Amino acid sequence: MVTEALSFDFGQYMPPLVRGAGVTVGLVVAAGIAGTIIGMLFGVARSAPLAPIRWLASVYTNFIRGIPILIILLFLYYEIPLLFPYATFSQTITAVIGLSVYAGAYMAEIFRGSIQAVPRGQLEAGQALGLNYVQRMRYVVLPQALKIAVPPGIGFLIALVKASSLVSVISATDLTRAGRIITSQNHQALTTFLIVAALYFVISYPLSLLGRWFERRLA
Amino acid sequence: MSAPAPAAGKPPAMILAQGIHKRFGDLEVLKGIDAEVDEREVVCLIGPSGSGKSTLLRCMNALEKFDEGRLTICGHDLTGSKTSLNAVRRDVGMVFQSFNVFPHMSVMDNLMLAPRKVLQVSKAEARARAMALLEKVGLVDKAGVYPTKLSGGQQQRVAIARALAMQPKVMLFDEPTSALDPETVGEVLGVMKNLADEGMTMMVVTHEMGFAREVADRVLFMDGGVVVEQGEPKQLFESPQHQRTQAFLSKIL
Repeated sequence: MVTEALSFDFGQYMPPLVRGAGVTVGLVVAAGIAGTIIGMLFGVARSAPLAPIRWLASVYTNFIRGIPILIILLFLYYEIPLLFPYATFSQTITAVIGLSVYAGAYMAEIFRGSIQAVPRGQLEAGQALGLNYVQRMRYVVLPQALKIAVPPGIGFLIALVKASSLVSVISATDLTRAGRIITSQNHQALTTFLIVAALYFVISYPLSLLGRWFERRLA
Repeated sequence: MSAPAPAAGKPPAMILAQGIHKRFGDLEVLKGIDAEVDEREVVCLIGPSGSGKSTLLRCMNALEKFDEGRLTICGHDLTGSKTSLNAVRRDVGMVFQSFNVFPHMSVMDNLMLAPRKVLQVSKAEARARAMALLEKVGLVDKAGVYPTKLSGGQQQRVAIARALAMQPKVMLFDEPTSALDPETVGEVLGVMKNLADEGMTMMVVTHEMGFAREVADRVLFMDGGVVVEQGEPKQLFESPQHQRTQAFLSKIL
């Protein structure tokens, strides 16, 4: 094990691993932002006063949360070219779409819970002041709900960092796939994947710290 | 602050409730309530918990829907489904037991939000109005503070000022001092008394019998979803006619 590590060619293999880590960060940032926006929209929709809107939103969130991310990615990778022959998405774009759809459903649940966690009296105070539904949501409920959503939202982003490793199955060259390509060349799986693991940790640990900082601030 | 002077003769009632019924599932909490509040009148609603006082109050600005009966407030007919609830609520201020001030906004922003967004008042005017109200409730120095830094009594005074910022014609108070520490009850009741003295039309659900006796023009005693008895405070407190009123008063006075 020590000899394997000593003979590992860092000069040759670190650059592709770091590039892969960059792709992973990019995927998580893009899907995190898109997922947050989707999640906000569907989270609000799930607490909308109109039943059909609530119902449509719950179909999306429950359906997506009920299937593995792997299947979402494979479906998009193999079926989109068949359904939309002229849409040529790169693997990375397909990965971003898949992760966003996935993140959106989970974020929607987080936002729905946060909206419900805002005390009912806040809503009633808004009603009693004559604010309409949109104004109540925008000025009273959502600012408070967003604050509540931050710690679980960050927790989900940490999970998303790790879930993003599954995009390697559709040949998007993220950190995991970079590691697999390298091991097929150098057969030094132990060292390579230790480095891969360390890089994942470097990406996700700051998020943990951020989450802890927020929780302390809100407490 | 008060509504424009009415035409000659007896002005129409600010609040007129006739035969209000309200059910939560199988439980009928209001069993045919008749109540009337005239302009500039202060009416206190007293009675044991579960008697329907708060529910009745909440029907008056449509936070609860009632099942039967007629209810008009400030000229708005709440019976018709066509009435814009937001228009009703513009004229009717409400103060809650749990204050419900907005914790993510400064005191000033709490007071400016609804006038700016609902009445489209200019920022400068909303600010001036808010400062005048903070002066009135004795919290001028708290304008920039967030409500979490305030005591319960101060938060409730902010909530009263916030409701007044909409220049309502009627103020509804739902047990405004029940969640307060005893030492801060007085400051809130003081603000309410001043408001009554200025001629605000008020309906107050309360357990503060001292306040009801001193400030109310009329007291309604509710029990089991009906108005059992009503009258001037002196008469109702000193010589209650109905046995249930006597029993209630003997327990709490």
